[in-house]
Amino acid sequence: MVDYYILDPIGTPVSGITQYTKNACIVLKQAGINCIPIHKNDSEDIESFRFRVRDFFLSMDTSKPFIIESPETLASTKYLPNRFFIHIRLHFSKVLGAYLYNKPISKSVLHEEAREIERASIVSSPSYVGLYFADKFFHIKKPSIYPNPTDVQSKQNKKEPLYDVGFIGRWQDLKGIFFIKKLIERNRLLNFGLVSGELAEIELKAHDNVKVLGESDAAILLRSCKCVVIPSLFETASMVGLEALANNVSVVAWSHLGICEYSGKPYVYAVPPLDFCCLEKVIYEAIGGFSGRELKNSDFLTSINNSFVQGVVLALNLKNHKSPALTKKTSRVDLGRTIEKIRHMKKYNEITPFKRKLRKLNKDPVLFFSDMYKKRKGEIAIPIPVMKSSSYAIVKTIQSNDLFCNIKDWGEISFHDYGKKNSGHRVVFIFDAYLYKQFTYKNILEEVYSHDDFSPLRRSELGRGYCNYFDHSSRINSITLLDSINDKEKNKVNNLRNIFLFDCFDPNVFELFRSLSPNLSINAIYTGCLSEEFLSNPSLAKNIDCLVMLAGEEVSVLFRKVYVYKKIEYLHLICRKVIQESLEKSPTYLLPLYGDFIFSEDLDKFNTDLWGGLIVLKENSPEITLACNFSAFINLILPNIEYIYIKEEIYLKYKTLCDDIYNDGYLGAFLQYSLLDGDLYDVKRV
Amino acid sequence: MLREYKVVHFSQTPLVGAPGKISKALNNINISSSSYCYVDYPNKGGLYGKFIDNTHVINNMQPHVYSAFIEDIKRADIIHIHNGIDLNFLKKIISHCPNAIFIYQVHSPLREGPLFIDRSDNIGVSFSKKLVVAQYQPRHYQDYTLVPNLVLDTPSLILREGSKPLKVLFSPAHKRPGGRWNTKTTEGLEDFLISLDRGGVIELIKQKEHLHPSSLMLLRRHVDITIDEIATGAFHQVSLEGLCAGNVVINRADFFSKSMLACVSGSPSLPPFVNADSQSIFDVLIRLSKDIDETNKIKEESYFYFMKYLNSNKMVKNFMKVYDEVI
Repeated sequence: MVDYYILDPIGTPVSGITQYTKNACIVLKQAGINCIPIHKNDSEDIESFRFRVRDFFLSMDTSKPFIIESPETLASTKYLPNRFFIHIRLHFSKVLGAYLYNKPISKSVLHEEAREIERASIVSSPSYVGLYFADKFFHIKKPSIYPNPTDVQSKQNKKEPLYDVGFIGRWQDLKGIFFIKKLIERNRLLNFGLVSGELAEIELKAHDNVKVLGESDAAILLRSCKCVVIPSLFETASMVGLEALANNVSVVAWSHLGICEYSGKPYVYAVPPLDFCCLEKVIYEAIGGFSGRELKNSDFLTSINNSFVQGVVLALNLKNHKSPALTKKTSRVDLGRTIEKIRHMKKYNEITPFKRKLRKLNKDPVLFFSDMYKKRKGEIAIPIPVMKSSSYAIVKTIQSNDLFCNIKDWGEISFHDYGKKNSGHRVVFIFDAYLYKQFTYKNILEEVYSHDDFSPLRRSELGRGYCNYFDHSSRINSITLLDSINDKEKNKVNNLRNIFLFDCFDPNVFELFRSLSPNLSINAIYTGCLSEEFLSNPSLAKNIDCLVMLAGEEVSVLFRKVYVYKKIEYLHLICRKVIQESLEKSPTYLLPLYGDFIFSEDLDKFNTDLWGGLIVLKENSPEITLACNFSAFINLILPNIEYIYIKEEIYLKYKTLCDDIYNDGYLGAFLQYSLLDGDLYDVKRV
Repeated sequence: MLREYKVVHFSQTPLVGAPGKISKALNNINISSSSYCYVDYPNKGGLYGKFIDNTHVINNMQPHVYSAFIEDIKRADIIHIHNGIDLNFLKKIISHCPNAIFIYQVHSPLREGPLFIDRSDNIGVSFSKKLVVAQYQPRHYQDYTLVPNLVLDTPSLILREGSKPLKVLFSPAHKRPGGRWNTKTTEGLEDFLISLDRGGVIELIKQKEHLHPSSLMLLRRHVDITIDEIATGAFHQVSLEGLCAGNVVINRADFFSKSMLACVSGSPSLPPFVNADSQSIFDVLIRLSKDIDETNKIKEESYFYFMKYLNSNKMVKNFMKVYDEVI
């Protein structure tokens, strides 16, 4: 049986995600599925939680299969290697919230969420609207849609209703509190029960038709109100709504909220989005419909839970599922219109930008200044969805004439000519066209540009390019790709020294760039975890000069040079190091690589202009004329090598292989790679 | 032992006569073989018509050549493809030889035009053996079987006479940018040789126009020194021809390139090339111009090395061995 882990990066009882985790575990355990929740502790920050998650799963016995479900928000699975099966449940991304409320958000948050969704084995949404909204910002492959569960069994008997209208939610604009305030003001004859925290209590203390309960009293409120209103600007499902239904209370919600896909009247009353008059009217209808009797909704709730279990069972088998328990109520177009309406509506309690900033300065001066700095550097921005595509852009498109390449169609490949000037240290960063638009790499680039003292990384010098190498339809073999580039274009690549391909998983792309110029160093950088299959691909090892990857993965083929990093913040430093190491060294030095390091005249006479190193064969070593191929020749010559000295740049080029020689003494891989790359060695006999 | 099989060689271009020479050398040892290329070099270039002595040019499907080619293909036991083949053309001919064994031989290395990438897996047939020319190319095709480039000419040795200056044959090579091994020119070398010629240190024989290979070989037999490229660390056909002509052969071949030749020739020693680079060539030429004995000693070494290890009847047995293995 496959174990099912659910990560909860919030870990507070009032949170919908925590409630979902709790309910899911109960329902799945009842269905016989071993479901284990992992909650964030109060004492730990999100980064510590991510590391705890990583350490926990890395220490697990991998012989027993398991799947890890995590919300997209806060990217709890950030440090988990790709070999784990990750299921991302779309609860409600911070990015969507920022967009909805026109608030800038750190691009790194967007980057993290997008990456986790990209690499997940399964992505699911608790409603169609949840998926449609997320789809505007993220690339979601074959999503599942099935409902959130609710805990039916533990509900207690209904109490005599004390409140006409119940509201449970944080006292935040996104929860639609201005509608609540307006309802309270205009309907003084209705009794309102709220679970919304101290702020609500302070703000509503003048109203005697309102009772603000403590956070632990949510269950009491649900058992003692006639209907629950959900005026949130957006909800993928609403756990409050599900809890209300489980407590036999009707729900009144905007029709574009996910809960409306779960049921209709008399359980869920849908109100046209943001229509306050209609909201009032429907609330009265729902109250009028309450006659003290219990809603006979147990069959409906059971079917919801069964659908949830079915969705999880199929997710365990990595299969997609669209639950018939959900009914599509809002089209993509209607949702888009509603969202735009929300973004442009005048909030009742809206304060001026100046006042808002002043409030922030008073509340948290450090955050105020750090955000101001980030905003100036373009690190935070309001996300913008891109029409007619699932991609997403925050800033204006970079001028195409600055770009080294912009390969959208692999059939037409052309490059920018940087000319011979600076060709010895010209560097180009190549990003996936789609991911770059999401600003996945913007932070890295900005940090790289900050190396003003190092000309190859200056903003004016560093080349950029885009390839759509995530587009599977473009995966044509490298020969076909190469044949589509004319000689003139090929020669432009000779003016580059280093190319950094970010998160490219297609071996054909590496082979293509490798074949374009013999002087070009191909560097592969991965901002996420890599699969075992990838790390054991000999074709990649052959075509990559330097692999830069997240710590914790085992590389099972021999790469020329491998750098690992623990935090993405260090990547710009590694880029600089890789470039520095590839530059010509003058003067250069001979470094001992293998054998007894004795001084000889050969070292003194060694011509560094001509040779990459000195190989001295043993005295009386036989001439090798029996080899039928080059590999066999290398293997025959290995036992006859007395010692090897290499130039510093050769060492830096094959750093990982050379370090392996210091450890295990095996020279074969180093020689094969070095000779393949065209290095020349002065070979002498003792 | 009489080999009953028939081998057809095919290449897109004449590949400076290499497939044709293999075919002819096989014929010389009574193995039936023919060689075809799809097109000759461009007729405006200097190579046009000069490397097709042993090769039939299909030349855009000229009917009589094409029908002869199809007849040969039908009777072929082994089809030996050099460097690459147009896939559409291969599709056309493959139905005529359903039982033939395919062999692939690579002449140009990876990351170099016109080959760039190993195409053997994308040609559309399964190759029973993959071969690589035993010069510098095996570094790129490390598991391919080594085979030689052949020189069919008869070796000769004309020693330098004391009264005559050192005769140096130099052929300015084409510039071909964008490859690790493509470069065949060394900046300033030509001017340097001209100045030595004017100073009476050497007698420079500069090949102004592309001569036919046989005329060039005749010329080569009467000089003392053949200079191959001294830029990359490789050696080329011209070095082998220099050995055949009993010349001092100057190149910059490294241990590994030379060892490949030793491997296919069965020689216990490396070929007697004289190593020089753009900096040391001046000293090498001055030294040899002054020292007739050393020049003649090296010339003899070249001649005898070729006689003993590189003559075509011996070297072609590398191919025969490959064919015997796959047939």
